[in-house]
Amino acid sequence: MAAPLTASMPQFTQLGYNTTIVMEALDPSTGAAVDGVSVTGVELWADVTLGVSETGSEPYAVGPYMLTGGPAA
Amino acid sequence: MAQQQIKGLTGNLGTSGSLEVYEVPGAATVEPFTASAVFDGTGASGPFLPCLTFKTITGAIIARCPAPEVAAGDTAEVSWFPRVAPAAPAVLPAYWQNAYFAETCDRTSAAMTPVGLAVDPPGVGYVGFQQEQPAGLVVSGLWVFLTQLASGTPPTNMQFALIDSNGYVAAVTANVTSTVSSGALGYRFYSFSGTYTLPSAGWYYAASCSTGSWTGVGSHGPSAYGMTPGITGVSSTSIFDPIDRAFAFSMALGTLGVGDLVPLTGVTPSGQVPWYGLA
Repeated sequence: MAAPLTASMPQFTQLGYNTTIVMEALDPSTGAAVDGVSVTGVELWADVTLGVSETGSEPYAVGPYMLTGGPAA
Repeated sequence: MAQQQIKGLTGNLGTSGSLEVYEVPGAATVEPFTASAVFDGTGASGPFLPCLTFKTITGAIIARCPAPEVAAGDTAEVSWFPRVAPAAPAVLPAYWQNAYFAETCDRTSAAMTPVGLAVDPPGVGYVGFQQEQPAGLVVSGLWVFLTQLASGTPPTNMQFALIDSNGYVAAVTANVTSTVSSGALGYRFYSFSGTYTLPSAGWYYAASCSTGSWTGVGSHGPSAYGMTPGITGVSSTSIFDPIDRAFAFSMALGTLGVGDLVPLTGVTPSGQVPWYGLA
């Protein structure tokens, strides 16, 4: 059984081009990476705006969308 | 339409220490709501903080969002979302663990004398007593016999706690500083923030924790407390009776929370000290 934990994250309004979202395992004292930790079941829910529509400059929005659930249609 | 660029959904946090989960593709923007993942530390080289990190295109960190500490060998399912109150540290920081505070106590007079004090205030004294308890006992608070009011500069924080045999805080009171430095002497009952049912038989510890310094009652507040056995309403509900033993353990600083790990290194049973009663 995995112990359930909760943690806070910022409430971003927009994250743009090439922003990366990373899972890490850090040493509590030094902040250095800790080896040997595996991560599974990653889920990331977000509102996604996929650039512009074909006919104009209006943002084409999809979401909420689970980013890790697969590519958008 | 742009496709979402999805990167590794599972993987091992090896020497690089990070698993890239998602990269926002060109022309897109993302407003993250929640994230979750299972961190398996079975093969971890040490305790770790599961962390969700946001980075810019250049790799600069926008935000790093650590979850509570996970011990090596343990597994945790972590959920991130906005406005979560900061979690209490799973382990007290090392600088809170740099001293010992030993007590002896004459249980008939309920007088206690600090011995072996290694660090003075603003350190913090933990004083506790241990006794073997049965499983299933529901504990809702702590009886304390106040023999002398604190005066001068009181601690900034004082709490009483029940600590299990592994050193974890099972139940704890709110800050009781104002009440232990004023009012009448005698028995007082301090409720824990929540009841706690002992999950198994074994050794449990009653402890007090204070920050700051006491003036007038010795350098630490615990010397102001005691409990005389045989008092109606106290002894009948006490789970700490004359077979209690005093012990000393590391000092700590700050606010105790359920689940905090109190280092029990240095525990040295030294006499019989039934000055705590739990009910």
